[in-house]
Amino acid sequence: MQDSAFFDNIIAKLRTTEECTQVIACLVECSVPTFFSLTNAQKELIFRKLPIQTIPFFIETFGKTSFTAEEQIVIKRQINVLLDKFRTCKSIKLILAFRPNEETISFFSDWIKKNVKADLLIDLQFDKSIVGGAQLIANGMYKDYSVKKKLADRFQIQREEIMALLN
Amino acid sequence: MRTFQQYLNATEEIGFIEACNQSIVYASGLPNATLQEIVIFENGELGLILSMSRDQVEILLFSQASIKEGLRVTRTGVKQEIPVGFELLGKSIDPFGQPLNASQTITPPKLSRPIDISPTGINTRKRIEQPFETGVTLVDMLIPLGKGQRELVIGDRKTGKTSFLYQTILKQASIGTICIYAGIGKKKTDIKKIEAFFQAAGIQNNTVIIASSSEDPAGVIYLTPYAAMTLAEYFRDEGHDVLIVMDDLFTHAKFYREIMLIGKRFPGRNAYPADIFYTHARLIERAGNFVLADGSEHAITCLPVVESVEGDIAGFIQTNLMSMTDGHIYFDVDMFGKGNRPAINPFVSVSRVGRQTQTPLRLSINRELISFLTLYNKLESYSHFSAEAGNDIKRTLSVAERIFGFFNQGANEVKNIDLQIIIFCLLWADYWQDMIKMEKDIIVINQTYKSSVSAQALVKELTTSVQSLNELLQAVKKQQDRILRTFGVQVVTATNI
Repeated sequence: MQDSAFFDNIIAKLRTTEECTQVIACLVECSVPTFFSLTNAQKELIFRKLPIQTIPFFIETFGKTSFTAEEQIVIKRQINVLLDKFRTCKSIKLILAFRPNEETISFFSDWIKKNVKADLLIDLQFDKSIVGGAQLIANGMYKDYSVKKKLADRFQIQREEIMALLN
Repeated sequence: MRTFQQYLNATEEIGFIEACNQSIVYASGLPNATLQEIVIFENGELGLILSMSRDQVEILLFSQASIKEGLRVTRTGVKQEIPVGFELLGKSIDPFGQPLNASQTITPPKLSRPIDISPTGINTRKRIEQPFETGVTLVDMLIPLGKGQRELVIGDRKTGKTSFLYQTILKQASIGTICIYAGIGKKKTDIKKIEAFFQAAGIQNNTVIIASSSEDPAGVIYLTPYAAMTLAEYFRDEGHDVLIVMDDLFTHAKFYREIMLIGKRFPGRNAYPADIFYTHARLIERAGNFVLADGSEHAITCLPVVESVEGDIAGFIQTNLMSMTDGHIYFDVDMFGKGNRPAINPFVSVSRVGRQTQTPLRLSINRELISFLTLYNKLESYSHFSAEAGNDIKRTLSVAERIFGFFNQGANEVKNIDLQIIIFCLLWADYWQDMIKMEKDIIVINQTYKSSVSAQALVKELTTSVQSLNELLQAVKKQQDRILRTFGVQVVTATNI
């Protein structure tokens, strides 16, 4: 049985909105009454869908073979609180031209959690057309640091130069 | 017009469509959006920010293209504007300044103005003192208007409102006034007819048509009168008198109601939103007689049109508009049925400021006519008992019949008010006893006046030399033969002059 700080740790471990969605799906499965009667092997099957960094926490919490009725009620209540927290989690959309590896995602996440907000998630998206760099969207603000924009700006300058010459 | 990506790069603000409801969509993001700002969607379509809440902005769509949830939207940083310039004269445009016909080319004006502005204050306004001629005898003599007046044109459908507007535009355009016709949610065929009329009359160089068709999105129809008024203000500021016709504000109110109901505004009377009065009042208030920065005086005369239903002029929108204008001209379906053209009911129509613009002579005629017609109106109710009516009553009814015959005029015919005053004098003096002869003579007089310089000079001489109807009657009596000869009318012996 864990206190709510334990669940806050799970939030802190999450990096992307995709991972958050996976955890939400897993928590929904964990909150049904039949879940508590599953064997450890069956539970691990569910936990495998989780982001790797959160698996130990789930095993520790739900890996027990038996739960008292009181424990089940408390866990359910905590899960509901956690689900509400997840659903209100803010995210920052990061559009990249490539699919980053786990190490890069962790690097991005750590930087954002340290410099912006501790429970901020990354909504990772991939768009090859931006060629390189990144586009950021947060709270309705849009920042374009992509190679595509740099090239477009450069071409625009050249177009204007050519037009000036022609005129 | 820049692209979505260019605006996005410039403003660095983005929103995502969260919900769509017909012509209104809701978007998250856009943290620095402002009311009435134009936004552009990823698919290139435009919208207008109607309202904002903590998390969302409410956007009015200007297109019927499909807007899906998740679509990106960005700010443009500008309010809704319309390009303005003399290049638009003779053109038919939509509220965004784009040509209505793809075949029509418009040199894009360099200037543009926001279409939704607050009316100017009292310090820029001046008392209405110049008369405004419509070319319609009945209006010019009984319900005179002034330059800068807001006069509501009200009546059931098919009672001749549009003909009256055509005549007024024809008259005003021919004397150099710039005329703007705002067709609000009109049928495309109607807009074509108006274009054709302006071309046939040769006044297209003094007119602009700003129209939205009934097929356009509600947002575009809603903007039409505001765009037209903005253009009118531009021409005024350039030193021209302007006539703006808004045909019609009942349709405008209905489309505004549609938008507001979709936007979940609380419905008020007849399901109109609570600010329907304000919506129209702030539009109408932009017309008037103005003093410009250089001290010159220029007017925007506004003729808003509103349709009545089954002759009911006490409807919500109708009474709202009556209270925010300087009078109304009522087109009576019963008078139309009796064959009166125009079918204007002078007993119900009002002009609150027009009389102050009239010369003493016109004012004198106006008073005399109104007094007489009021008497006629009372007597008419007894006319069913004609067998018992005395000679005076019979004479009054007979003269009134001739007066209404004199007021009749063709759909696209405009008349000179001074000439009509002379004709009226002849009529008032019982020169014509026979209605058919009177009608024939009036046709001859009107035709002669157009072509004869001496006839025009005579009319001018007579109308400028006197101050009242009695004086004019005496002058006409003295010079009756000369007048009739000048106008080429066969002289008959006058009985009562």
